[in-house]
Amino acid sequence: MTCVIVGASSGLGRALAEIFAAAGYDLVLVSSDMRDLLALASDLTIRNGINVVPVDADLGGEDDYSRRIYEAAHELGDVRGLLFPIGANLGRDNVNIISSEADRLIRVNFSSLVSIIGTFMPIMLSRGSGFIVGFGSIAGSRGRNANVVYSAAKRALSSYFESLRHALVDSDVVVQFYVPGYLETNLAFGIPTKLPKASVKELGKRVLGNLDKDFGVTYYPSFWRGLCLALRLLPWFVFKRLKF
Amino acid sequence: MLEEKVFVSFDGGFSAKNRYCRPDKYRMIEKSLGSQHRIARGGGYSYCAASFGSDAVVQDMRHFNRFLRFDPEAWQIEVEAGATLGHILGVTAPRGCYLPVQPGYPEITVGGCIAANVHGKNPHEQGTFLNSVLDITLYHPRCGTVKIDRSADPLLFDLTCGGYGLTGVILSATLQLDPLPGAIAREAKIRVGNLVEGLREVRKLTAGSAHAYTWHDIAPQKSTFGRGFVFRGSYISGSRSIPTSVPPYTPVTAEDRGRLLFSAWGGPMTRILNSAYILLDSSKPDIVEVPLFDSLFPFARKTNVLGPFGYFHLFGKRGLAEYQVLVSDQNAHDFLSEVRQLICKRSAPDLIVIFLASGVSSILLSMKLFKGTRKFLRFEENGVCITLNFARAAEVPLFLEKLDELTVAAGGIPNIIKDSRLPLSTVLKCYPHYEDFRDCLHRYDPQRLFTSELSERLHL
Repeated sequence: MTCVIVGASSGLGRALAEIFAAAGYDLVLVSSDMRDLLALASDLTIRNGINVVPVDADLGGEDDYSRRIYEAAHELGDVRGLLFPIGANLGRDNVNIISSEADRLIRVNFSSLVSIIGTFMPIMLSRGSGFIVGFGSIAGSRGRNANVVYSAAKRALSSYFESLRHALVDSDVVVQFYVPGYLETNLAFGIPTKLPKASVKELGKRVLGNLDKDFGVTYYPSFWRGLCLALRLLPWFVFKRLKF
Repeated sequence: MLEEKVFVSFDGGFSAKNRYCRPDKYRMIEKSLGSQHRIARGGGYSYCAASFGSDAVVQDMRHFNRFLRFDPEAWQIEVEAGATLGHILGVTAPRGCYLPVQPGYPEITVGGCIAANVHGKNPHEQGTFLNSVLDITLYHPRCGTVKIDRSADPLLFDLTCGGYGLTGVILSATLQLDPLPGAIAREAKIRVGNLVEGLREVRKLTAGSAHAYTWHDIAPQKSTFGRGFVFRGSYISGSRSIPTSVPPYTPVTAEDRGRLLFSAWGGPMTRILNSAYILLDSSKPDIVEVPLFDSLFPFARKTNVLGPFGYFHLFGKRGLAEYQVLVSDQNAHDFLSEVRQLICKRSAPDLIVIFLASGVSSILLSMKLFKGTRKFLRFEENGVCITLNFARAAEVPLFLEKLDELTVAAGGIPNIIKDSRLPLSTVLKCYPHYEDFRDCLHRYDPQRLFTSELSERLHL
């Protein structure tokens, strides 16, 4: 059984790769730097005896990645699922962001996933079962004057996964969307957070354990559901005064 | 992005706040820090500040812990520098091989082993860690990433092995493994009454053993000083099973080692705890069989009466002082005699010793035989390796200065990585190749980008 992990070389992606490898999945690992991918691929092969095909792809720049990822998965066969722990942000992501950088953020965080899922849809439908797991962000709960394009892309992704789940309701393909809070990754490193950062390993184990559950959307840790709801419901005259 | 963190040496003797990062991609290591000083860090088990201080940016390498290549026919493995010894054992032992030189804690990283050129339990037979290193992949902003070995760039290879991380970031290394001698170790002990007897026995028992070392009670009490054991280990070949995984254990780190606010060692408590240890160990059989993991890493699992606190925890926040020295065979006997005089002359008379916390807080002394060749700042020499542990207290620094004098007089070398206060003056007297090392390092890295408190203290 094969799983494709997009955004695999570090953080949550690496944790998922290690956990799924230990569970016996062959893997297609996608990331932008082949050095990181080769190191991870070798490690998982040596430790778990599985097959790994690394695919280096610049999801913000090139156009051909969906085909290459598909071919890599075809090489291994028996594709069971797709995991998308990919995410990229930018320090200067505010309302003055230049369009090329905005485009790039949208491609990495949203449209590349649409493209890859679209490429794999025929085989997933013909198989009739499997899983597609996306990862959003609490930043997508409400627009604010920071991470402007990133949070818009994550909110778009949330809507897309909702549509995907609706479209696949008559199949046994499970569509899940995780909204993680702060995670112990380099994305949050050096950023002081008032709330604790969650373990990517624990989230990864949760993902593996939940593969057959049709819950739609879930927050991790779960307390973020209430916090995000409260944030969305804040009246504008209160929200506009918040600086975060 | 960088965070700020307070780092502390494992012995508790030095702490400093440094900016640090935890790169998890190769391009993050290469990301320019400009002319900022930096230093790589692994598990942080050096007793001195070899991986922080000096206002350097600490680059925590523990995400780089992957296995890159395993050649089962040549018994070779290539691993990233953040891979730990326990991790390596977990992968290699089920495949019938292992690293022959293992310092005694499973969380120590390969990068740390190379940078400190560590030794294991049997340096007399196996030498030091560099004997297992076939090549090193090293990154330095000036030279980029290079793969070095004994034939391609031997000078840089020599500078890096035992170079305290000052030549760059060790990214990975290829290591030569040995066939696994057995999954079970047979540990035998012999009771000895004093240091001289211990030295005599360890000299007899080292050849033909997987390892042999002594343990002596050196609490400053004349009547019991030097009593202890000689431990000798061998592996049982064709053992019942090959371990498929590393058993669970709770790692102790430099940060949590000092979580007890007080030290349980010192004064009468040292005598009580040492006596309890001797009593307990004497009640066990003289020959026991232990799993390979416990034989290689005796401090990792808490199989003692001290409950959740291991030996190192009991030193508390104030910490411990370790003095490890190599002296020649001919000078070992006299050195031990001087050490005994130094410790015991400071003790109170036996009758009142129980009631007074008197004398320096010396705890234990351990010996093993060593074989090696002096080079640069490596702790390597033919002779006897003698290790002393003290509870860190007000009188200890002065006492360590006395030990420095004894070491210089005996022509010995103190272990740089084990002493967070070792002064330059002592290193200059004991390490004849200090200037060579310094000159070569400065020629290789004129900007001296890689620094630490250790390199600052030793004017490197």
